Amino acid sequence: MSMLGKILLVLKKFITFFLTFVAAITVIFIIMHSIPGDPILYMFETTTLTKEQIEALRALYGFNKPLYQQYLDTLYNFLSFNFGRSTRGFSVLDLILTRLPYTVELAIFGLLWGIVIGLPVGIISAFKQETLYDYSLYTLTLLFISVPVFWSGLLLIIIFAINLGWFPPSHATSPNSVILPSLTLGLAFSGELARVTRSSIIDILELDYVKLAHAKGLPFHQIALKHVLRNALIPITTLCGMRFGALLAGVPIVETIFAWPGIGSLVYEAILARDIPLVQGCIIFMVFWFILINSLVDISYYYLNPKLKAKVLF
Amino acid sequence: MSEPKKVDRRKFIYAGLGAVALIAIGAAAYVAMNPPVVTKTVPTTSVVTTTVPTTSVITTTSVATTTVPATSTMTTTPSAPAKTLIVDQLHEPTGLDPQHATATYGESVRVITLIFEPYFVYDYRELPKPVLKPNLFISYDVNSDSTVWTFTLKRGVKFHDGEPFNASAVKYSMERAKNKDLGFAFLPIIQNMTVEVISDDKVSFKFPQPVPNLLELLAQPQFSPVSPKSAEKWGITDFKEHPVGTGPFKFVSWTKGVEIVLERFDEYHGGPEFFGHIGPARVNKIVFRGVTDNTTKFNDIVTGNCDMITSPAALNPSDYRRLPNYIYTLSVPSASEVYLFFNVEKVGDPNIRKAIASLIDRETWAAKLTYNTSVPVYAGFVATTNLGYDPSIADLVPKYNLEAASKYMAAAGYTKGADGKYYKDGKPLTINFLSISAYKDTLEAFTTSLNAFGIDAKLSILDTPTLFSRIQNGDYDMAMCGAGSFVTSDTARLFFTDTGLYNTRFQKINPEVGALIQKALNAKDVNELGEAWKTLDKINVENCVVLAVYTLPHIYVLGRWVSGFIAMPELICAPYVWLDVDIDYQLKRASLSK
Amino acid sequence: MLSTLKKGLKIILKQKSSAVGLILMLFLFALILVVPFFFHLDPYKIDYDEILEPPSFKHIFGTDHLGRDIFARVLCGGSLSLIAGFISASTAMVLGVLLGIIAGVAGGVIDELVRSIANVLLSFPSIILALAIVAVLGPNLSNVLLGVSISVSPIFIRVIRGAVLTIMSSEYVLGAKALGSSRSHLIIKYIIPNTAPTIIVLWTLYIPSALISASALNFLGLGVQPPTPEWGALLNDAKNYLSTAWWTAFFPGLFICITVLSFNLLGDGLKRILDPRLKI
Repeated sequence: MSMLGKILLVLKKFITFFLTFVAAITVIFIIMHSIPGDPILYMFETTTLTKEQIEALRALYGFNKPLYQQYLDTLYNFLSFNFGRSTRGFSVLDLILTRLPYTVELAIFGLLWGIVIGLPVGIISAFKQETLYDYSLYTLTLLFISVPVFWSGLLLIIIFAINLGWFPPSHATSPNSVILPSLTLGLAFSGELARVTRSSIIDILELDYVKLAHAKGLPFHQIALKHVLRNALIPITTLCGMRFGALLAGVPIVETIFAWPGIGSLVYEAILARDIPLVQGCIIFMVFWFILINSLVDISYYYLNPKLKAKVLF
Repeated sequence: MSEPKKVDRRKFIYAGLGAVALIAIGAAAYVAMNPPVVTKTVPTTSVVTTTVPTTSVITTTSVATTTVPATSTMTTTPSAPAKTLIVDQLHEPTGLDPQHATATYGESVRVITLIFEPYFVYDYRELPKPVLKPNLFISYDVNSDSTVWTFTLKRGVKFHDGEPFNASAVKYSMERAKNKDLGFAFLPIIQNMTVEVISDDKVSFKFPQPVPNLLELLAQPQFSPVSPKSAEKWGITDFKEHPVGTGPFKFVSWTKGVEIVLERFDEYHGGPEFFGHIGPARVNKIVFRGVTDNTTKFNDIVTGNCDMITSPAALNPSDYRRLPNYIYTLSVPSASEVYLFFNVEKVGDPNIRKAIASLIDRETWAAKLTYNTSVPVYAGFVATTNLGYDPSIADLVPKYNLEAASKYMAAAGYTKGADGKYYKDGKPLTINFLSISAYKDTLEAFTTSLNAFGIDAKLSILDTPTLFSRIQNGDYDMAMCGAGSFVTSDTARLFFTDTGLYNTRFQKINPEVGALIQKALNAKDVNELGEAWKTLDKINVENCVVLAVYTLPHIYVLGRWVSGFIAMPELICAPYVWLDVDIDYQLKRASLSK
Repeated sequence: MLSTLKKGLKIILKQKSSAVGLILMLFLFALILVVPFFFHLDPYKIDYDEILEPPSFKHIFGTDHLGRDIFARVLCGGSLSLIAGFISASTAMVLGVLLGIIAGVAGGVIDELVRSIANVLLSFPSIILALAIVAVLGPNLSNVLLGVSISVSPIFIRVIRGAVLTIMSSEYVLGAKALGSSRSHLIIKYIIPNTAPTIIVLWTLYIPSALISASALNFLGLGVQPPTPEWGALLNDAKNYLSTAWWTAFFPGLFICITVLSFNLLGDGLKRILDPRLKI
């Protein structure tokens, strides 16, 4: 792929990213402003406030302006990284950035667990196709996918934190607090990863040139390393990238179960507190990273496999 | 597949794997060097001395002294590890400014109570009777119609930033509270008050109307003095994140969503005379964490991750007693009660309200669902410990009686349909029932029995802001919530004024209510005040608007290694209960290693 | 049609995995739909003297914090969870079919518009969108269904649109177009029959996903209100008692897991029969 082609591709992706981001802001705006009734009454408990104070609040949050004006203001604010202030007066961006490292830590460890568990399972399944290993591992991966995170999290707490006492059940207080929540996420991801690994390896094993190498008499491990794994890694890394983006966006459920102070639990708390600026800010922030990482993964996918450029991917 | 392509891919994959490895190493290093929150659970140093201070600091002095030693008389061996008390409470505070509207929230008050202190305090030995003792004001004088109060200040008290506590600081605090942007809880009372600085340690409050119960009010956390210098510096909006008061602990940091850290104020004056503690507190730090989840709280204390839990929901004491190293619990009688109240504009027929009231099974719920930590209460809105309570009101409160309930429904014009539900003119009786998760068990049980009886009860468990919002907007039929204050006017304001958080709108339907509240506001002495509340409660109970269900349990669970704590009800501001708290880390280690 | 069904069933039963899935699913349906009525199970009956009792002969799954039989609550709650999953997945399917076909057939600007909408909806991490919708509209079951449908629909739109485009560019359709067939004729004769397998497979595969999302929202307290039993809501109750009553959390979650597993097994089998090339 030529240099110009690459630049154009990246540019195109960037434009798509930007437009998608703006569209996402629009969607969130629509949702947040579909509240039945007066948004100020929704957000604040106004019994101790006078009429002037209520109107002042309304002006502060811009609810007295016409809807399209509010939309443009919101758009401008977010694009200039002004996330506003939450209803309790704290800066939204501050709140998010304080809690972001926790989510990042959780995402990284979750991804690692998923890789550590899922990759070997997938590889073994692929090379031992149609044997008992394959069937049992296949069921196991399906099990991992079927288990809801809010159940596995609770079970892990019961078994490892309460009964065995190996890990703390919640909070981010000690270095090994991250183990249980990331394991919960990792287990769910590992099932998916194992299946994708298995199917992509099998796909490559079926390819002519691999069969040719096998026929030529090359030793097994050489085939495995040289040809199969490297090529199979493409869809695997793509999946990892996309899931990492999802994890980075915060997983409200797991974070709530483990009282993990990340942005997932921040969104949930904001929703409970009916704090519209905070909810908006959090979701936009999450969406930003999610789309960004997905776009990067897309670009890398194109870069790796230029043959796919021509296909209608979606 | 030409060769160059393969090379490219390989390089890319190596690069990708390398990047992942780098990220992994980086993450591991980050975590190792920078654990998100480091709280000292059990110190790993072997130098753990169970230090009993060499000089006894609890002296019961019966002579009121107005001077306080400038330095602490308590000694701690310098090599002893810093004692950090970790407290799990239900939620994070919403703000730490005692004069801000957010300071009526229990979780905020608990922390505010350590940084600030009120002018008078309740004596814990007399609970649940509210007996006041001097704290920052050591004596008072009042004129015959309770419009002019003069106070003498305690000497030698300092704010955390070094400012002296004196009459001008008191004046500054009162004037600041008048600012409308703060939403001060008692604004109507102080709005037109004038404060006169007579001397450095004498101040007088002048009111245009009589305030016979001012002492009660001055024991509320909202009336704590704030440091003029710091309040000016941070202003109205930011002071709640950078509070500075005279209390035994000073504010260090607040990591949102994680914890609040307080540090011992070494120049603390020692608290009220009757408590006899001279000097600062014993522990060096207190850390507050907001933990909504019951399991987490339980596990935190079982593993030693925290030292104290406040308000554990649905606590079964036997769960804690079952532990090999039994952690003890303290529960405290208080003025706080759980109330059931109606929106009389929506549920207008008193017969329906009486029918529902006859289905409240206080005895069973208190016994089985709160494990006997609550006591059933047959009363109206006035708490049993407060001014205006008349024991004979129990006779007017409907008792649990299914037959009586059926009779009331019939009187309201409802008949039972074929499906067991009550119908009138073809429509079932639907009750929208609101509450918060703290009382979930009771509510579920109540909703189930209402449904079984034939009333279509729809429960909504909401978070506190949503609850307040809906009540305020009148978007409810019935609600069950807790409230607690030693000041009856507070509770009356909650239920029977347009700005009250639990506005029942009874004042709109019955003009006597408004008249009685006015009478109370203008009462010249406590007797008149008490009579007004008594009459109001009688009308209330006869109309079944606000009914008490059971007392709100205030339970603290502490590790065995924590000593010296005095349990107080949640909204009561009493900094002195924390002064003698001590942690024995050796005992903690022994307790935790099974 | 019956013979096709029979053939399909044979293939399903031949494969171990999908056979297990089918049997498991039938067993679950029997449990959830039949047993409560047959045995007159009451999920609401409070027994103050049996609070948080461990599993025993009297209560095979134990009792909860109000002394109610967990076996009864799990089975009765199952119908609510299953319905939630079915309805949201079906709504998403209907949306996907409508928009996908319209986009694929109309082409041009409408196609771009639909594609963008789907992309935007997909740019939200899975549960966040549903969470925001429910938060704004209020916590009750219908809003949960709405939220979950909206968050699941973009996948349907995307896949169905892709399938429609492929069909539209196939020789048959191009030929028919050249011969002057009307759009509705194209849709009825070519598009629907050819996309049906994909739609069915997708639907089967996303019912469990929708079920979990709906349960997750109930778990967060944003859906059904107590005392209504539903698997996610039961787990929400249970999380307060993990240290003392593990059975309150174990059984509802177990049933979610088994249900989803059976759907996935069956879905995998169906995928092999109907549309092996489907890559989701």
